Amino acid sequence: MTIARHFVTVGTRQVHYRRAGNGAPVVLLHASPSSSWALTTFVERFGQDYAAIALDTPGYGLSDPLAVESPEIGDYAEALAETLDALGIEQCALFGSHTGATVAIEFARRYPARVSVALFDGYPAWPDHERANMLREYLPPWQPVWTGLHLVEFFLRYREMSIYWPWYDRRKATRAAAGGRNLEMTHRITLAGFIASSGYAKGYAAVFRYPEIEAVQGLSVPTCFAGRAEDSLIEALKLLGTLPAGCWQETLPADDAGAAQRYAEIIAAHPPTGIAPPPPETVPVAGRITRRFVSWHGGEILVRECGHGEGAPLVLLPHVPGSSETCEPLMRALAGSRRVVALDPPGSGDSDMAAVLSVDEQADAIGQALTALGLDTVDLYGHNGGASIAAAVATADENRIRRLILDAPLAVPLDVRNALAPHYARPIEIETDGGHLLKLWHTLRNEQLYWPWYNEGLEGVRFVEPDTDPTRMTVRLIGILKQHRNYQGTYAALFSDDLSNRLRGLACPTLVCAAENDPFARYCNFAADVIPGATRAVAPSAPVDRAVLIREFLDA
Amino acid sequence: MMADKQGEAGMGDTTIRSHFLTVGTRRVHYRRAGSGPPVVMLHASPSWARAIDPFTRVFAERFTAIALDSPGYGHSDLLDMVQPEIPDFAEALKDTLDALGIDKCAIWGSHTGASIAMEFTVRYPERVSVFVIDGYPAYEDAYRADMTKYYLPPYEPKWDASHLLNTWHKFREQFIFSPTFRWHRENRSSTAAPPLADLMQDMVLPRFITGEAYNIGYSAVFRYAGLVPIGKLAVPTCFGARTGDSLIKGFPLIETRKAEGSWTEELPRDIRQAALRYREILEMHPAPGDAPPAPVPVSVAGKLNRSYVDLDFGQMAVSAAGPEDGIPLVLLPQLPGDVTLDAGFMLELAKLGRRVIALDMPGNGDSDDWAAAPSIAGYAAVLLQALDKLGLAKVDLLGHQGGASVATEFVLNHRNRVRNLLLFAPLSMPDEVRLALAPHYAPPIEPKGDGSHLISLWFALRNEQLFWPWYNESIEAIRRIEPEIDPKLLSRKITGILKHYRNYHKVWQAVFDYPVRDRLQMIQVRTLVASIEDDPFHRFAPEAAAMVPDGDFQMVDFQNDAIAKAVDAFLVGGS
Repeated sequence: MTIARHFVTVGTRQVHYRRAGNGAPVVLLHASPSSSWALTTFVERFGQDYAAIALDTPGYGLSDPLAVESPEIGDYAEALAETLDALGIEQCALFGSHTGATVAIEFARRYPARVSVALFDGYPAWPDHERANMLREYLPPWQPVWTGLHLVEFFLRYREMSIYWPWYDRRKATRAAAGGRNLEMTHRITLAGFIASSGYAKGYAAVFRYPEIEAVQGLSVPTCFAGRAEDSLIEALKLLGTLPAGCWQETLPADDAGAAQRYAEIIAAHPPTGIAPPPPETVPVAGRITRRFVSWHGGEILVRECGHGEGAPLVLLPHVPGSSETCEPLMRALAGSRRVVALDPPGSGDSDMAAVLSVDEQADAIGQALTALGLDTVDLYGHNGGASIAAAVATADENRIRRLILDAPLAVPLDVRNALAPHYARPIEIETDGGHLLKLWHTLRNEQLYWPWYNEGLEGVRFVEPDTDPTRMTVRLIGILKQHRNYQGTYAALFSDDLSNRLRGLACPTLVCAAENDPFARYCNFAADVIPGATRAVAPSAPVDRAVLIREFLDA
Repeated sequence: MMADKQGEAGMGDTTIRSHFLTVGTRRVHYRRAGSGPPVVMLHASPSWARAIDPFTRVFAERFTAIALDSPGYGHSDLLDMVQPEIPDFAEALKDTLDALGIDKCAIWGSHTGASIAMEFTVRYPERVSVFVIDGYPAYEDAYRADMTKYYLPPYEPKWDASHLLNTWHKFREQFIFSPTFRWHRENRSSTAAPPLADLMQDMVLPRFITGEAYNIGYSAVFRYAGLVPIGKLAVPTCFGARTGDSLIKGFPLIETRKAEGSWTEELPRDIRQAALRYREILEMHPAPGDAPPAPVPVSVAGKLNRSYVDLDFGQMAVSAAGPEDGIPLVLLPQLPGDVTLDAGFMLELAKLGRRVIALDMPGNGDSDDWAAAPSIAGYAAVLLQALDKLGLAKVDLLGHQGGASVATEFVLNHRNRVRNLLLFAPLSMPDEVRLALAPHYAPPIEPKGDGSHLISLWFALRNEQLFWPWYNESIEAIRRIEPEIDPKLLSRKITGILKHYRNYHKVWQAVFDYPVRDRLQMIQVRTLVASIEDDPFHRFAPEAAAMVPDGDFQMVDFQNDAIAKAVDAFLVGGS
C-alpha cells in the first residue's frame, strides 16, 4: 500500500497529510506531539478499502499552526471542518488517537452529520485535580540551550512516559504498564516534538483544558471508545460513566495491526457516504513560503516556493544531509524580485528515501523534479553537499542552468577527503538514554569551532564568528534527524564524489562563495581555481546581505 | 586517581599522601608530601587539592608541600555559615594553619585559592614568607557583576542528569570561550583546547563531589573586591599566570596597583616547567623551620571520622563512627563503590552505641588505585592487612553486594577474625544467571567530549531500580517497587563510581567472577542475610540465607534507622 504525502491549502494555512487508497473517506487524527506518520499502520489498513487520510494537526508535523495563541479544542474542531471542506469531504469515518480523539469528539458533537462513526484510540479523561496537575507539570517549556540538553531532556521525558504515567510522578503506584517503548517510536515522537518546537504543548494544553467527561454525553454518532492494552489512557475510560446510546467501550490489542483490523470492521458496519475526491492541487499562499510534493520516478520531493518575477526562477539546494528549511530565511530575502524554489534532495529532509543516492542519481532526481515543476531554465544555488548536486545538475544538462552559485562547495582535495571520510559523519544510532542527540548536537556545534570538527586540539581551532545559536542549530539538527539513517551514507557519497572534475566541465557563469564560518569555506578557492571564469566572493552570514550578493550575480 | 609515587630519586620521600585534620568541628582534607619548610597550597574553584598534585610533587622535592581542600571542596567540610565570603575563607585558613602547627609558611594559590591567600596575607603578613600566585582574579567591578549573574547557575540534581551534563559542558566550554557564556570570535580561546575526554573526566570529578556547594566559594570570589588589597601587600609576591590562563588579562590592572616587592610574570603553559619556576621563587624566601608532622584527626560527634591507613597498595580510606571501644562492625560497601551511600546508616548505628568502620577497597572510592587486577580474593587479602594495621583482632563483618563476596571470602579464610557476618544483598544468583549477567551488567565507562558517557552511566544506575536486569527494558523486566531514584542519591552514587571510573567494568567483572553461591554453605559463623526491596539483587537474598548453615534472612526497610536497628538487634543476639 503506497502512502502519498500532500499539502492542502486551507485559507492562509497549509495542512500536510498522508493518504492511501480510494473510496469513502476515513480521516485520522494523531496524538500530541506526533504527526500523521504515527498512524502509518492504520492508514495502510484503511487504505485497502477506503480513502484513508491522516492529517497533521495544525502546529504539528508539517501543518502550519492556527493563528491563535492558545487554541482550544473547539478551534481545532473548526479547523478540521475547514480542512475537510478544502478536501471536498462531506462525511467521513473519523479516527482519533489521544489528542486526536479529543478533537474528533468535539467535531462529532458540532457536526454529527459529517461523521458516520467515530473511533477513539485512547480517549483522554482526568479527574479535575489531576488535570490541574497535568497543566502545571506535564509540559515544561521548550527552550533551546547551547548544551543541546533541551533535546535530550525531551527525549528522556518521552522515554519516561513508558516507565511512569504521568511521567513526573514516580511511584510504585504510577509505574506504567508498558515496557521501555520501542526506541524507533520514542525517536519519532520526540522528533515530532522538536519539529513542533515551542508550539509542542498547545495541543496538549487544549486537551487538559477540555471537559472530556461532560463532552461524552453530547455525542449523537456511533462511537467506539477503544482501550488498547499498554496504552497510558486505558484507565481513563473508567471515568466516563454510562455512555450515550450507540456508543460503546471496547478493549483492543496492543499491536497496531491487530487494532487496525478491528477498527476496519467497525468502519465497515458504519460506512461513510460519498467518495473522497482526488487530492486537490496545492494553492500558493500569498506572501508565504508554500510547500508541496512533486514526484520523480523514485518517490516524492518536497518543494518550498515563494516570490515571483520575470526572469529565470532561482532553485536552491540546501546543505545535505539536511532540510531546505534552513534555506527559508534566504528565500524570503530573495523573494521580492524572483520566483525562488528550494528542494529537499531525495533522502534528505522531507524527501523520504530508504537508500542513499550517488551525486549523479541525486542530480537526475532533481532534474526530474524541475521538469515536473515545469522549470525549463533556472538559476541554481547549492550549499555544501547541495553544491555538489547543483554542479552535477549543471554538467548533466548545460541548457537548463542559466547561472550557477556554489556556496562553500566540498571541493576538498582527494587526500583530505580520504582522511575525512571515515570520521566526518558517524552513523546515528538511537540510544535509550538519548546520547545520540548529545553526540549529533556537539558534532554540529564543533563544526563551527574546530576543523575538522572532531579535532579539538589547538591546531583545530577556527577563529570565526561562530553560528552556535541554539535555535538555528536545532533546525539544522531536525533536518538531519528526519533521515537519520542516511546521515553517514550521504556524506560518504559526497566525499567519494570527484567534484573538482565536475567543476572543470562547467559551462555556465558560476559564482563560488562561502561564509567565513562555513566549515568548508577553506576549500572555496580550490573550487574557484578549476572553474573556467568563476566569480568569487565572501558570502555574508546574514540572509539579507547574502541575498544582495546573489542578486547582483544573477542580475549581472 | 593514581597512587602517587613519582618522587625523584635522591629527593627523599616525595610520595603524596592524603590526610584529614580536625579544625574545631570541621574536617579538613589535604595532600601532603616532602619535608622541610612548609609551602601551603590553595587550589582553584571548584576543584580540589588533588588537581594540583603536579605542583605538589615538584615543590615536595624541596619543601613540605601541603595542598588543602578548601572548605566545601574535595573532602573538606563547608564552613558553618550560609554564604561565607573570602575573608571567612581567609580566617578558616588561619585556623587550619594553627591546627597544623604552622606559624609561618610560603603560600601558593591558584585562582580562588589566590584570592583567599591574598586576604590571608594582607591580614597576617607575619605568617607568610612569600606569596606565589598562579592566576589572580583581578576583576573590575562590572566584570564581577557579570560573572555573578551568568557564571554560576545552581547545581540542581535532576532526574534527566542535566546537572551532570551542564557541569561537564561548562567545564569544557572554558577551553573554548572566555567567559563561557559569550559565544563570539573575540571570546574564542587561542591558547587552550579541551583536554582529552578521559582526562577531562578526572578534572570534572571534583565539581561533582562538591555538587550543590560548588558556587559557595566560587561566588565569594566574584563578590570580593580583589583589586583593593593588591597595593597593601607587605610580603614578596609573584603575580604569576601560565600561558593560556584567562586571568593573564588582569595583569595591567595589577601592574598599576602593585606594592613594592610584587611583580607580574607569565609562566610556561607546561605544568612542570611552571612548577619549577614557581619553586625557584619559593626558594628565595623559604619559611623558617620545618613543618611539624601531620596531626592525628580528632573525632567529631555526628560526623564520620575519616582517615587513611597506609597499606602495601597505597592509602586506604577509612571512615569510622561511634564509641572507640568494643568489637567494631567493619563495613564493606558495594563494589564498585564507596562509603558515601552508607554514611547515614553508619551514623544511625553509632547512635545505638556501636562502633562502625567502613573501608573503601583499593581502586574504589577514596582509596588509592591498585596496580593489581581486581579480584575478590585480592580484596580479602587487603582486608586482612587493613585489620592488622588498624589493630582489629576480632570484628563483626558486613558486606553489601560485591562487598558481601569479599566478606564471605574473608570469613572462609580467617574465621577466627570474625564474630558475626552480615551479607546485604549478596550476588548469590545461580551460575547461569551470574554468567548471563556478567557481559552486560557494567559496560566500560569511556568518556566522550560530548558528555554522553555520563548520561549512559546515569541511566544504567537509574534503570537498576526500574528493570531487572537494568538493561532489559521489556515489560517482563519491570520492577514493581517503590523506586529509590532520588537524583541527589543517584548523583552521590555516580560520583563514587567516577572516582575510579577506569576500574568500573573490571571491578564488576571481578564480582561476577566470584561464585559466592558455592561458598555460602561453607560459612561457619553466625550470619544474617538481609536486603531491602529496592536492591537490584534483593531477589536472591532469601535463598542465600537458607544456604548458610547458621544463616537467617531479614528484609529491612530502606530507612537508615531501620537498617541500623535490624543490624544492632542481630549483633546483640550474637555478642
